[in-house]
Order: sequence, then structure tokens, then C-alpha cells
Amino acid sequence: MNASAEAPVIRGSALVKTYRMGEVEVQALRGVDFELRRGEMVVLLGPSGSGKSTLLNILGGLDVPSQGGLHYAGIDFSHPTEEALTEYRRRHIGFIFQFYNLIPSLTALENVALVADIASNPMSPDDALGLVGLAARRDHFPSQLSGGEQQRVAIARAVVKQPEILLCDEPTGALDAQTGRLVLEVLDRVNRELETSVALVTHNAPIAQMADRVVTLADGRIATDAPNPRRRPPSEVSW
Amino acid sequence: MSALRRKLARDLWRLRYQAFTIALLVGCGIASFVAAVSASASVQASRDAFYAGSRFADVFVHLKRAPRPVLDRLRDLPGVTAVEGRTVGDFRLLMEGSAEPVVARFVSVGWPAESRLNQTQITAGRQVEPGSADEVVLSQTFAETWGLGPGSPVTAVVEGRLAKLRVVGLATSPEFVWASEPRTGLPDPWHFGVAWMDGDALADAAGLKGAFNDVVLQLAAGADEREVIDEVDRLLEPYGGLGAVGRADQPSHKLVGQKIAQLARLSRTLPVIFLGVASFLLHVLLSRIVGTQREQIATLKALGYRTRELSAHYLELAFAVSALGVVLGWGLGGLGAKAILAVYARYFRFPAYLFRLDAWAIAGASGAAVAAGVAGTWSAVRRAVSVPPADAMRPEAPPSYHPTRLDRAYAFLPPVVRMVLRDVQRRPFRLLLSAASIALATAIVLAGSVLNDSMDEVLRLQFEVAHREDVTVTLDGARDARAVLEAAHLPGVRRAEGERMVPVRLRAGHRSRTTAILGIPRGMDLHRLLDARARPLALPPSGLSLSRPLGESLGLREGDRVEVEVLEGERQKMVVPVAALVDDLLGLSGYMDASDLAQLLGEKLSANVVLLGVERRDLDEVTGRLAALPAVSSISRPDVDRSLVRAQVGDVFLVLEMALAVFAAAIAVGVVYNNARIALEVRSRDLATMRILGFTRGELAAVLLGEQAIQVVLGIVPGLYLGRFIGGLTLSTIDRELLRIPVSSSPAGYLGAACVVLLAALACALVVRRQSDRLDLVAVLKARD
Repeated sequence: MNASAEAPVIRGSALVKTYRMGEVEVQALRGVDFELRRGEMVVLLGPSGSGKSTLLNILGGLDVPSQGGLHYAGIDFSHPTEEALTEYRRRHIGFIFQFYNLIPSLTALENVALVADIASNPMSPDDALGLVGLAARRDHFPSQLSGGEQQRVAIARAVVKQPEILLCDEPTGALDAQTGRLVLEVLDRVNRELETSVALVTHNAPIAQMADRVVTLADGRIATDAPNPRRRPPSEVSW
Repeated sequence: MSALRRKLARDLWRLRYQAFTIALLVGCGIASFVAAVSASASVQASRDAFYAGSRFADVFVHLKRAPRPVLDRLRDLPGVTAVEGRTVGDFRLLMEGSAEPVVARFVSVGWPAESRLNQTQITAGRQVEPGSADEVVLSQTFAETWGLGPGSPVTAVVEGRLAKLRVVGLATSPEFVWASEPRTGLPDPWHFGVAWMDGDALADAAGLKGAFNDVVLQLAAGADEREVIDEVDRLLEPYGGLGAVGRADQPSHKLVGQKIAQLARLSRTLPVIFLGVASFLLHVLLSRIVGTQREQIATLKALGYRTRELSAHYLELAFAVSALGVVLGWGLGGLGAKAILAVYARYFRFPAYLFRLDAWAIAGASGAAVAAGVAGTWSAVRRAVSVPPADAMRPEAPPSYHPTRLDRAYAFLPPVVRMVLRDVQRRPFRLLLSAASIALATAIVLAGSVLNDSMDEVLRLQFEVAHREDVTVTLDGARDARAVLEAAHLPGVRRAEGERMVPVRLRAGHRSRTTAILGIPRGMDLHRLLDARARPLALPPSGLSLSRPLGESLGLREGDRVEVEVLEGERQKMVVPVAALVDDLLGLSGYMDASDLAQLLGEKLSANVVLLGVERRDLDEVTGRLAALPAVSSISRPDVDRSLVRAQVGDVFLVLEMALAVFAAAIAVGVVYNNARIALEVRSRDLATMRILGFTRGELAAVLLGEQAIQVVLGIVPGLYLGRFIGGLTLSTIDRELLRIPVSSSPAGYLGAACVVLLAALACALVVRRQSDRLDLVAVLKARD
């Protein structure tokens, strides 16, 4: 894939984010410029506290920047209303969380249907589960699934609406290497087959090998931003 | 069904015990309303149906004797549509096995049957035949009490002659739905019944041939009752008319009306308190339940759910819980109404009890309950759904604790106790809300026992302090005080004292009331008047003292003058100064010094009521001898009266007290179980960590339940004060003209209220402790937060 020629789907410029956590004030982003292009797979690397999750949250409309601009498909999202952000997440963004965040009282299929119910052009929840290889586990509750399976349900839930952008926050963070690889393969497949732009946050450097482009953050700033010379399939990645 | 709806259904199922305890609270509120409103509507419907089918009269008057042609003059009065002259008299029945006299009110049956007013409804056997001299129909309750039925023989003493009669049927009458014994005003089927006989036969026997001594009148719609009553009184005055009364003052109708009104008042007080408590708890508890779903809410928002969709989702939870409560309330309320009606059916005799649900009132209350539940949850939901979606992506910051001055005081305490105290200190408002709920639970139990304790206290005052006689004898007329002394010489009689009771009508301006003046001799020992603090009250040497509500209803104050019309003998009219308004306990009366009253009536000191102090072992013999005296018209024993009052005024209280105890236990369970369960959910990670660090299950239980224990202890004491207040509020639903009850509560009541709440709380704490003992440590620690 040659994504560099594509126009950016989303672009953040001079992003600053300060927030309070408990009684501590955290300067999470200190002026970040970032763009994600159509069909691109970007890995955001960095140690804990480097600001990568905060950047992802702002890109996904979960959070708003304290300063700076944000544009999605040419539309200004720098000072969005609550409703506009909700619409943005609802229509365009798929989210994958480190701890899966499945609704414990819903089965795998129902967790996927939860998003299909509110999407404008969803695929069938069964197909989404098939895509992540979990068609047979559709009627299991989260507590009956392994961590890897739960994360694959979360991926099915994210892709069922066929979003333009998939944002993944440490999707393998809570998994062992073998299970993690399985999850990455699903993400890779979604990116290639559905041409969904993917931004994947991790502190696990080897995962960067599967990206088109690798961005490194340190202390709330972008340290490096470079295309990968060769994008490897997840099966070749080891950590 | 959408996935979100499925989540709702599963959440409800997972929270089923918590949801049920909250629903039960709403249910109790609705149930008490439905029960009171339905019982009230049912009694009213049964009464109205009975009246409508029986041509119940509008005006009633008793007189000495008038020739029948006078009836035509009554018929000609404007506004009068029907008049029936009757023979009515209280005659003794000779019942085997009764030491005390048994009295039946004999009422003549006129012909043709269809033109009769106050038509009886025959419930067994048949009506008396026209012209039959020995047939009698008895009131159903009386006959059932004595085991009489069609075919049974009875003997009456009518005007000094024995009359052998045969029961041909049993009946109920709109005039005697509440068939009260005239002296006490209470239904006492062992001593009082109603007997219907052919009009001519009864008139002959009572010496009223060609005459009548009682009239009932029916008025045209829109007729001025007051005007008709004045005309009737004017017409009948020469014939010894005792003063006509409208339906509102007809004893049976009045009592039934008072019960309907009491239920209606009850439906306006208690359920309001209940529903208020329920929606308050719904708010407290649901806000905590919704609070535990913070992360799920953030996730749903991150997935694109709108705030209003999530608000609706959680409000649906509140709606479902309230609606379940409402449905429970309908069921419980229907049962409650039937329980109340079963109690009433013992005293109020309608041919049929119609069960009526006031659908509009119930729908309104149900809507209000659901709205209160949803509104109570609104702010909690608003707060919960305002969680920024990014919170789903990061762990919750540790709750903030600050060092306080109290820390030094805690220093010597074990860490577990410090944890509990810091939590309490950090969220004092939550603790206060929970303690307030416990206070309400305690208050509601205590309110129930206040009702009964106060009832017992008023009876103790009335029958041990005010009335200390063992036997009350009513004579057939005012007699010389010597008669009293003769009574004293009966063996076993310790003391005998006479009182003079005179039926009167009091008039002040346009207001008038029919009552009796009691002449009490100075230094009387067996009957003492009491003031509001239950101290003996000395009567002023001259002038008339009135029960406070009687004085107030006539608009009279101390020093005012009131017109007194005597309703017997020479029917004197005079103006008497009001000496005092007294705070007596039961009924409405006037009181005068006996000599002052005798002087006013222009008679010698005399008595028509004799109070006797009798040795307990001689009671039966004394009443037996008195019953044989021709001058004695009735004998009663205050201990019997006391149990009658207890049974009949206390009836609703009994149902209420049970409902209150159930409701209070529901509150205590609702508060403690939900708080402890939520604490377990929120702290399961802390608790599992502590277990792994080596803390015992007991220490964990102390952390989990310590706060619950503090709120229970904090709530109980103010709850006891509040309970006395709610008890007083409920007592105020009793008609003050009937009974004025001083609010009182016993140590046992306080202890009982505290125990009910403590036990309910303890039971819940034990259940939650068992759940915490079974925590799967590894699973809890694996799950994030």
C-alpha cells in the first residue's frame, strides 16, 4: 500500500493537552502535529506517560485538545460540541481498548450488535464475528472467553460499523505474545481487506514492524515520524 | 430487541435482589394508598347501593306520642316526599345465659311494604306477615351472635308484659348498618339487637294504638333540610318531639361516614410519607448502582452512544424498578383493602360488600410513584452519563483522601477501623442520607407502636382513672337519690354514686348540636373528669362545661352563653353560661355540678345513672340482681366496654401496624442490603488485595460493614423521635369528636422499633458478609477495577 500519496483522513496540528488526574496536573501533549492517511496503518510508540494514548483519545473524539486544531475529512473539529463529537465517534471511528471494555452482561454477538444497532451502514454482526474467527463463540458471555477472544470480539465490535478509522489503544497490552499475534493478524486483515485506516498505540517496539509508518512520542512530543522500509505481516513479528 | 435493551434486561436480572428491595418500598407506598382508597370506596359503594335500594330516610325524629293524623300535617310540609310514622321502643329480651339485660330496639313494620322507608333486606327466612302478633324479624348480627334463626322462640318484656314471639327471619337495615347500643354508641350484639314487628301489633303492645312515637321522612331533591327539621320540630313539640336530625346525625350513617372519612384521610397521609421515602431511597440506591457502571457508560459513549440514549437507558432501569413496585403495590393493596373490609364487615352490616377499586386515584398514584422514582434518579443519571468517554481508556484516579485533624485521634486504632472512619469522613453526605433512611425505617415501626400505645393509654385513662366503677346502671328515669342508696345495699357493692344525664340540644347562634349534659355530684369518686394531662379536673361550681371539640363546633368560648333545650320531661329552654371547655377524652358531652343542674331543671337532686364499685367475685351476682329490678333499663360493665372500644377503634390500627412493620423492615433491608452490596462491588478489589495480604474474613467484613453499622446506629435515635411525630400525625386522622388520644409511647415500643431495624440490618449484613466470604480472589484481581 502506498498511503503517503493519499490525503489525510484526520489531521491534528499543534495539539496541547493538560488534564488533572486526582490531584496531579498532567501535561500530556505539548504541541503535536499528526496526520493519518486513508488506508494507512500507523503504529504510535513510546514509553508510559509519553502522551500516545492522549493523542489517540483526541483523534478519536473521546477527548478535546486544550489547544491546537483537529480536522476530520477537511472539517474543523478543534472546538466541537458534545453532540458533534458523539456523531463523529458514531459514524467514523472504531475503538479498541487495552482492557477490551466489553459489556459483561451481553454475549459476544450482542456486544457487536450494540454498535451495529446505532451504525448507519453496518455489516452483519455475525459476519464481523466471522472476520475475527469467533463465529462459533457468538453466544458466549465475556466471562466465558479468554483475553484474546475478548479482544477479538472488541475488534469485531469496532469494525462492524465499517468505520473509516480504527483506533487501538494497547490492544495486545493485556495478552501473551501468541494471543497478541492473533489479535494483530485480525487488525492487519481489517486494514488490508476493508482498507480501514488504523492507528495503533503500543509501548511494545517490535509491533512497529507491521506498520506503514511509525511515530514515536516522548514526553508529550513527537520524537520521530518515519515510514517503515518494509511492512511485515504479524506472523513474522515476535517479542 | 436491541442490544442495549438486552443489557437492561440482564442488568435488571443481575440486580434482581437489589431491584426487588427497592420495588418493595415503592410497592408498600402504593399498597397503603390502594388499600385505604379502595376500602374507603368499597364501604362507600356498599353503603350507597344499600341506601339506594332501601329508600333510606333523610330526616329522623323520636317523640313521646302523637296521634296518626299528625302525619298528614308532616306530609304537607314543603320539601317532604314521604313520611312514615312508626312505633319504636327499647324492650328487654329474656335471653337464657345472660346475667346482664339484653335490649332490643323494636321497630314497627308498616304496610304496604313498598311505601315503607328504611326498608330492611331479609337475609334469611321471611318478613313478618301483616297483622301477625307474634312474629319478629331480628337483626342478622344479633341473631347470629345468639345462635337464633327462623323458627327460634324469643320472649320480650314489653311495657311490663311478657310477649312470646317467634323469629321468622333475619335482616339488615340501612338504619342499623352500625347497630350501636344507645348508651356506649358501640355495636355490642351480646346486649343489643334490633327487632322488627308488624306495625299494629307493636303499637298495641307498646300502648300506642292509633298513635306513633317515631317518624322518618324522605325529602325531595334540593329541599332545605334545615328548614324541614325546624318545621318538624315545631309541629311535634306538643307531642314530646325529641328534636329531628338529618341523615348526617343519624348514628349509624354518621359512624359509617366517619370510617369512610378516616380511611380517606389515611390515604392522604401515610402513602405520601411512604412514597416520599421510597423515591428518596430509589434516588440514593440507583445513583450508587449507576455509579458502579461508570466504565460501561464511558465505553458506550466511546462507541458512539449519545448522552440522551444512555440517560434513557438508565432511566428505563428506574422506570422498570418503580413499575415493578407499582404492580406489587396493586397486589398488596388489594389484599390490604380486603383485610380492612373483613374487619369492617364485623361491625358494618351491608347486605353485600361491593369491592371497588378507585381506578383513577390508583392510576394517578401509580403514575406519581413511577414519576417520583424516575425523577429521583434523574440527577444521578445525569451525573453518571456526563462521564467523559476518555475515562473508559484510563483507570479511575485513586479517590482523594486528605490528612485531617482527626487522624491523630485515629492513630491508636487498628488500620481496619481507620479505613472505615476515613471512608465515613470522606463522604459524610452519603452517610447522612443512609442514616436518614434508617431513621425513617425506625420512625415508621415506632409510629405503629405509638398508635397502639396511645390507644391503650386513652383506654387506661378512660377506664381506670376517669371511670373507676365496676358496673354502670342506667335507670328508666331520673329517681331520688335514695334509689342510689338502695343499690348500695346490694351485697358486694362497695360504693354507689349517682349521676344525672339529661338529653339536650345546645344552640349558639345558627349552630346547634344534640348531646347530653352530665350532672356530677361534688366529691364523686367513681367518675372523675380529666384534663389534657390526665389530672383530675374540678368542675366550676356553676355554669356548663363542654368537651372542647363540642364547644369549638358551636363557636363557644369560656364566658359565652349557650341556649339549652332539654329534650325530655317539660322540655325547658334556658340560657346557661359556658364555665369552661374541658379536654376530656371520649365523645362530646356537657358537664355540670349535679346540684346546679338540678336547680336549673327545677327538680330535686336525682340520678338516672348509678355507678357501682363492686367486689370482683360478686360481679355476676350483683348484675344478676340488678337485672331483675324493674327500674333498671340497662347494665354495663366498663371492662366489657373497654374491650369493645379496643376492638373497634383499634381495628384499622392493627392492619396499619402490620403494614408499617413490613414497610419499615423493607426500608431497613433496602438501605442496608443495597449499600452493603454496592460497597462489596466497589471494594471487591481492595478486599481481595487485603485477603491476599493476610487479613481475615472477619476483618474484611468489618471494613465492608463498618460504615453500615455506623449509619444504622446514627439513624435509630433520631428515628425514634421522628416516629413519635409520625404516630401523632396518624392519630390525628381519627375524628376528634369521637376520641381524643394523647400521643404516648412505651419503652417496649422504643425497644421494639430499634430491634426490628437492627435485626433487618443484621440479616442483610450477614447475607452480604457470606457473599464477601465467597469472593473469588484471583478472578477479582484479574478483572480491571
